[in-house]
Amino acid sequence: MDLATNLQMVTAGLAMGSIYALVALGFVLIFNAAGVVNFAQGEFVMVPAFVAVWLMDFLNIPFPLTYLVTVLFMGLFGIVFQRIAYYPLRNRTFLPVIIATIGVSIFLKNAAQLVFGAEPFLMHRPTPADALNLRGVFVDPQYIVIILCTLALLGFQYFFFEKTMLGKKMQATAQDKEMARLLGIRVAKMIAFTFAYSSILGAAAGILVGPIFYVTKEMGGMLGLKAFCSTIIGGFGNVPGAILGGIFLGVIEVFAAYYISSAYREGFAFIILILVLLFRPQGFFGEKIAEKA
Amino acid sequence: MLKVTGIETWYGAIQALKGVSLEVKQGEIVALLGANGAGKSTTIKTITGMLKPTAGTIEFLGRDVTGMEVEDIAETGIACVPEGRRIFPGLSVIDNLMLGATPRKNPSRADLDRDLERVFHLFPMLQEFRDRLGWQLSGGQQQMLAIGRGLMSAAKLLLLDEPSLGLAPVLVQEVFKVIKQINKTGTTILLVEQNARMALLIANRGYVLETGKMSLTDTAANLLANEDMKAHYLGAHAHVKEARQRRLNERPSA
Amino acid sequence: MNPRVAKPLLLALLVLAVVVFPKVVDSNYWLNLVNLAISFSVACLGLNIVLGYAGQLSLAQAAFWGVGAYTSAILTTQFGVPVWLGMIAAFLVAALFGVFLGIPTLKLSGHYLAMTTIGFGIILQLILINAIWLTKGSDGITKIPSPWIGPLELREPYAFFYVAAVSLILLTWASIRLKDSRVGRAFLAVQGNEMAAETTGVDTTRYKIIAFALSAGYGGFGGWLFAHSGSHYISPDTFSFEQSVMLLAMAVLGGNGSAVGAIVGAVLLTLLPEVLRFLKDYYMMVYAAGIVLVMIFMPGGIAALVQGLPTTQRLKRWWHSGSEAARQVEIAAAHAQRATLQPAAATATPGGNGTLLGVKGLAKHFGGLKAVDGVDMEVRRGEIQALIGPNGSGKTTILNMLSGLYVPTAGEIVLAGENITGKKPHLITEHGVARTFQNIRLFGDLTVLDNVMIGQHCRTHAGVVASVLQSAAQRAEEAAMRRRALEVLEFVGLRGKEFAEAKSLPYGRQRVLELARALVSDPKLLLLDEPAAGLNASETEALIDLLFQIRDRGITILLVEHDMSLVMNVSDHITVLNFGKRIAEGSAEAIQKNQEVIDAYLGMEVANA
Repeated sequence: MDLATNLQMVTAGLAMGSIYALVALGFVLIFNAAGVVNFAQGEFVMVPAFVAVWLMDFLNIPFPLTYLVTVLFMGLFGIVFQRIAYYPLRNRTFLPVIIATIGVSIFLKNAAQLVFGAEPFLMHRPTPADALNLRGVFVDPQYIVIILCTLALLGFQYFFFEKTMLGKKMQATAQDKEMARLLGIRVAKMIAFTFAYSSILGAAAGILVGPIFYVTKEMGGMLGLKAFCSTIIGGFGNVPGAILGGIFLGVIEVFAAYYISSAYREGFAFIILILVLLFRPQGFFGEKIAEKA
Repeated sequence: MLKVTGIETWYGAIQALKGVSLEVKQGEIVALLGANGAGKSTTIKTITGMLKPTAGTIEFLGRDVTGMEVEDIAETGIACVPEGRRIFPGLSVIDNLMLGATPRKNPSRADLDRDLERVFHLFPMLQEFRDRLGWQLSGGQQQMLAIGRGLMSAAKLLLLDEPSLGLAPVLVQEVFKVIKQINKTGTTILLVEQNARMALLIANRGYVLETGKMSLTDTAANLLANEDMKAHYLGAHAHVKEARQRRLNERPSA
Repeated sequence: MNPRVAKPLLLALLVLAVVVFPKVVDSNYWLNLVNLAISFSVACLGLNIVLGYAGQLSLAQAAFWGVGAYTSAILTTQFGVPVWLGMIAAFLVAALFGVFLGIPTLKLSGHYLAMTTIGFGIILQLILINAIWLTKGSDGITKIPSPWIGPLELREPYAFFYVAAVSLILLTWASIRLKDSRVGRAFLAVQGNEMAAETTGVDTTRYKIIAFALSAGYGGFGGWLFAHSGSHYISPDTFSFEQSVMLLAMAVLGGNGSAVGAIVGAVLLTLLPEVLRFLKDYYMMVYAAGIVLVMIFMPGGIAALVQGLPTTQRLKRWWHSGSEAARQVEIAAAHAQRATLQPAAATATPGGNGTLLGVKGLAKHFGGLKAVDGVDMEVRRGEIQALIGPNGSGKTTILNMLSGLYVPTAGEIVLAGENITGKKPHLITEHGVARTFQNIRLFGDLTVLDNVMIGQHCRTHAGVVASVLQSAAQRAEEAAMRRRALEVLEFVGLRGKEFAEAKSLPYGRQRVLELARALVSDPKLLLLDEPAAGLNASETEALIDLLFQIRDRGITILLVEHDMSLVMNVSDHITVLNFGKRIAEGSAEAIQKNQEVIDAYLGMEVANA
């Protein structure tokens, strides 16, 4: 229980939390723009991880090019996804959409298994495998890369959404779709962009986390669910809330697994979820929504 | 400029508009009045394309825009300041205003700056708050922002849906002063209002809707003087009085 | 053939089919598969109750299935409890867990609910894996015993099949009985329109918990079937989120809301992998793609598809003609009684003209917005009072506080001497307040008759057990409810439409139906929110007549309305609101002459405009 161990855990927690944050962010953006709870969000991480592995291992393409192609591929993937799973169901109630996205999730998982087999892959690391020794604290350099890249991405996102016209239009679409249309904003296009962007966030997460996890068809499942927990903890529909929720969850998980029980590690996210839903259902940053009579 | 003929619009299972016709000529302020549920907002929604009519036509600047998509209608030069203002709560004042310019085709930086200046001139308080987020503004300020946003589209026809709703009387005064000013600089206005008197004070002409049909139309001055207006709003028609008397006679005891 | 004769015949055929089945299907392999399908079917029947009937999305059904399996497995292997007792324990323990899930999720719906149930399921699975002292963890529990009947051990698949088949038939029969009962109608009301269900007198909280408990119980029973058959081995891996998804897919494929559909879906998706063996590696992808396609093109599942066929419609009509409901409708039509609409004894108001409703200092603040700002009002017994005012004046907010949908920020509401401020809507309905809504809130998918019968929910008592067993008392209660419902339908003029779907009625008739539903609970006070909205002139005339008839039968009416000609025609007394405050009250003539009212409606002339 010394400081070094705790700092190691904090770093690990921040790294995992960053991944959760990226996935949660992708999730919230889709929900705000399209009103859809995307149960396949975890697969948005799994698919690019496999694509990257394929490019690196089978085609021997160097890192930078791999990453670029993966990101572009996911952008396209997002647009195709929304055309299949969102567009035909955009006017229905929530149940068909949830089930449809679950269906796509299962399809993608099994497609991955079909193409790549059931053996887990290890993605090549862009960073050295030896832990860095920072004054007694041993840190996996990939963690540092994850944290820094996530910060960079968030910075880029802030710039994109706050400083470009397209970003503002996407925000407007998410905040009031009807009003956006009245101003001439092409809402259908904005929604397609949002799906594409969300997939690119997934690509980033997949590329970053691939080297430290095994790349398997199941890697997205728990990630997606925990990301969903993060958004609810932070406040459903709230962008900074999703990010903070993810980081919070990542850190808490590591500490809870160490100090309380490592066997229930996978369950802590849900225990916290249920506690939040019981005592503060709007999350830490969210707004209560009531139905009008 | 705008010609609406025989519009029939359904709201779910109810026929909200049962053959509505009106006209707005260039440079006018036309008031669209009527009690709640009469169909005023439905008329606006039909013109902007949010609702599609099942019969009738809408002509704007000689072009048939009936049934066109909302975004396309916005690009023809019709701007809408909807009921409840609907400014983007998470975006700043300046962002809201700049988004108002979306329907314009390739405006130059200079044009946009000039129009922004115009808006700030009309609403000096908006310039002061240019970086405040939408949700931080008060009701009156939001209304000003919504109108400013509508102006940024350089629209030829501005539709205003209940601009005085929820505002304190002093602010109502401000808003109507601004509307008059905007009209003087060349924007044609179709004004839907609950506050009939205020609307008629600045309008050229008025239409009164009653349960989905046009029941009265005249110049603003005539409507203001018309005692019948009270009847339309307060159910004081002669035939209602008769029906009530008849019922009272029929029943043994109330 | 008379459907009443057909029913026992069908039952005999069913029994025959069950007895003969294992002789026909002679392979152990297939019988094991069928037993598995039945186990899934029972779990899906449970899902059908919580999702199909009550509309609550539960993605934890596999966890309850697991709880049932483990409860019985542990009791029978470690404590030597007889397998039949294990069955009862499986049902009850799972139901208990269902209550644990139901309680925290009461205020949730849609996605939040789905997520919580997923979380619940995952936590349960983790407990199964980690509580090794109890569950033997990932090793699982082996050598689970078979049930015995006397000296016979039901070990062979064909022997267990009889247990499974009989259980399935009984549980299906219970589900179907449940749907067409007071409890079932309450479930459907919660799904159809939760807000309307509350104001109609259904304690939605209670029924949601009951739905979760029942569905978990069914799930647990399915788990029991699974544990004591097949390989007689269970491990935590089986009871995963993926399995819950599979069960959901089965229920939705079969058709949400249909008990038989749930079984069809379960059987199909259990047997399909066998039939599609040639797809081996592609099977899951085809299955997943199928799910997406079904959602896009067949959201009602197989049941909806089948029910759309004209043959099915005719069969349904024939089958239904033998029911109690149809019989009563016929009798009522034959007598063509002019409606009496006597208020039931319990709520008959004593004569006299006292104050029925007293409102003092009522206020509702939404954050900084003062929607209602200190309003005093009085409604006298037996009068028709109108609450009017321009847009945003607070009329509907007051109505919502009177019916319990909003809790007042301040002030007091007293009805016939009882303080009902801030009480829950279904309790207020019990006290004698009924309401209709501005944008009609009917239970659209239910029949006209069912809609009205739900209105009597708070005046009747039958619970789950009574509804399933259909004792003489329960049947008598149902018959009395139907009689009363038919009376009210006659009174409002909806005779002949009893079995039509509520949403298929024209708009004006739907308004009248909502009124009927409100009337049937014997209210002292009827709250009407814009009853004339969307009505044409002749429909409005009919409404006015109806309102007077209702008033003549001793029911007090408070209505919010924009149609001024209606208001002036009908009201004994008018209260006018503006900006959340009362600005005037009095008779129609007085109000029309009141300058403040005129200003409020036509607008204040502000100087220098």
